[in-house]
Amino acid sequence: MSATTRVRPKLYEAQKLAIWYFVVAIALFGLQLTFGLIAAYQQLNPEFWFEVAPFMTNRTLHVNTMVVWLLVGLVGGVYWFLPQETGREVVGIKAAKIIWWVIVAGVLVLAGIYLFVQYGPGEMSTLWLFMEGREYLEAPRWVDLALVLWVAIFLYNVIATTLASRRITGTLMVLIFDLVALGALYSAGMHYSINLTMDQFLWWWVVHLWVEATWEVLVGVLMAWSLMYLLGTPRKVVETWLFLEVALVFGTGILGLGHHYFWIGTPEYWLGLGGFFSAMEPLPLVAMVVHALYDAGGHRLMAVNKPAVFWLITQAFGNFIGAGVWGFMQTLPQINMYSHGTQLAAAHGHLAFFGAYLSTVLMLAYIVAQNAREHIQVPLDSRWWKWAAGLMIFGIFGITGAFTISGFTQTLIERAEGGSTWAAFIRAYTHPWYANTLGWRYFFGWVVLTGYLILVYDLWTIGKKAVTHARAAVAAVGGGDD
Amino acid sequence: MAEIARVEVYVDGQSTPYKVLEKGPFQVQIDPADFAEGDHFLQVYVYYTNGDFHQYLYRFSVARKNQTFAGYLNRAPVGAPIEVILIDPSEETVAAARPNPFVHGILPVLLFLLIAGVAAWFAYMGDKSVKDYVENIEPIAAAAAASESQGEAKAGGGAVDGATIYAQNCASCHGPDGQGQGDVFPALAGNQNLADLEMVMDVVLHGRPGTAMVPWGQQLSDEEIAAVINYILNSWGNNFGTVTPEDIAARR
Repeated sequence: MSATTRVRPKLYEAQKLAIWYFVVAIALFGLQLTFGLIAAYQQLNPEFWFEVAPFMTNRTLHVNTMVVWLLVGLVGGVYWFLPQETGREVVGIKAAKIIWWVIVAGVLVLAGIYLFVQYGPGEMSTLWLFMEGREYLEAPRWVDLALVLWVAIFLYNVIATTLASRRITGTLMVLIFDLVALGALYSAGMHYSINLTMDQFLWWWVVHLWVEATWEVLVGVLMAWSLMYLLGTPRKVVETWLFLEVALVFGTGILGLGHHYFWIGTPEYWLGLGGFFSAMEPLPLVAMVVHALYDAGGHRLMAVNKPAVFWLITQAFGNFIGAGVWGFMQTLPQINMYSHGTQLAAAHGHLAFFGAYLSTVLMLAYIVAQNAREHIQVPLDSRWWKWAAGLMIFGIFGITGAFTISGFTQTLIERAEGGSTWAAFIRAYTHPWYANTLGWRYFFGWVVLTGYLILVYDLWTIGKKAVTHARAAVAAVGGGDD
Repeated sequence: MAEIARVEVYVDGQSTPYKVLEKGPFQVQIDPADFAEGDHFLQVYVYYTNGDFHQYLYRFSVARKNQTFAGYLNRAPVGAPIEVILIDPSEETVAAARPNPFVHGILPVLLFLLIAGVAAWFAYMGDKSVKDYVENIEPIAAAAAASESQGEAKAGGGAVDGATIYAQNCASCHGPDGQGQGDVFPALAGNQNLADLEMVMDVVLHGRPGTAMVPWGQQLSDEEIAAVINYILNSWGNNFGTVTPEDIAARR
């Protein structure tokens, strides 16, 4: 039976800001899919838009918009839950609002510039104004500084609100230290060196230690709050799990960084360090699956928001399969020697980001959508979210499958059998297992885009119509306390 | 520490509260006889004396017949009146835990500076060693190489070896034995087209547009191109004659 409440408490200013975060995140998600589709089509027809925006430009924009929209979604989730966790309005909310619109403008200007200017001399003026010449996580210095300011204000919001509320919870403590690390690590990507090894050495601090350490912990915090909201899980349960996950994520993920140092000109000991620690990186992801399912099962799926719980469970499995299994496949140096730089990496990237972060942000988006209306529908449900989720999951597994098959072909035919000769390169790239998968990828890209369009429609309409059901026996309900 | 001032309980989104509690114990009795069979939800609003506010949302289901599958016996739906504790008992320990300005305020800032500082230090030292290499080590290596090649030039006369140039520049596509690769890279061994020496010189100098063959005129000197062409024309059973560096210079 669904019902509708009429007594939605007033939203905090931080929560109103969070709604904007999600609007922009979902819009950027659409841009990311568009660039991805163009890039996929350029694999089939390389001449398409070659003069305007070649494959590498679209690929960079595909990756960059993804990083931005996922981060925006995660930060939005914190702004949503922070007042609920501390019981008060966020301190410094005015500054948060101003810097948010600066960032939105900056991202738009940046994407526009990048579409037209793609290379240039590595001089101070171009570094500051246009770009630093990286494959992704690419931003000129002025945007870098704006981002640092954004994270600094965000950190101030979180810490000051916690201090003002005069209560500290385990989730808040983890959040504070995680955000500090997240913000500080970004500075590692701002240095510039003419030596590519040095440049990459620090660049991976951002890419890896964000995605495989600080972001995972941030997701852990948001999961903890979401489980408490969605299923009513007691705080003791979520915090116990959270501490375990944090210990495992940082314990394996920090030195797991070594798997990016295998072949970039760093000392050989990174092979052993990276191989050992990154092989253990799936452990916290297993813990997260057990955690989410334990709670969901323990509550017999009696959730207040059905699509959000669906995405929560998708996150648990997707994170484990995409980040854990697909990552483990290629993380040992003995295997990576043949597979690095093949499309197996792209397969891992697609499924891992979908499972770990897209699912989290969509779960948060549905939580926000439930509370953004005048009337809160409990449990939140609609016909369309299942189609959106189903198509997107089907599509991403299709894309991942296509990338995995083509990556396998490259690893086997070009690398292992052919010894990376040019003849082997041509044999691998003309092999049907490679050539045909280019088309599958493109097709499944359209499947994901269809799912996305339904998702946008669903988020826009879900819970808008007040559904009220006549209750058979309401004797005591109307009478207040009896 | 702020005290709880008031707890309001709403059921199924009614606008009037099901129960209002001003002091503990913050519990409410739910009697299934009051509710229709099926799913319901409970909203708990908690107001604190200092103005803080917390809300919680829970679902529960009511079964008229107190009946359940044996596998769910330990978490059967509510079939009889039940006392519901409204505030998570672990919230009490949380409420007692105060943030520490040093641990939760200053320590994070120090951690931020530490991480950013380590990154900056790595970048600084790395860049320094790179510049050191370019400015100090490379000139030494270059000077050593220059004195070595001077000695060589005096001793051997600097002969240009066509086989070496072929191995370095041509073999990766045309094969170490001139056998070519598939349809893309034509074989050179036994290729009758090589009889046209002017064509051979043009293709090596200027490349062949629309194919994978790149021009070599910028990379290699007249002597080197002549040497590699002569190597190709007279290896692997080929016998197509010779060209001179002057022929190459004339076709540039």
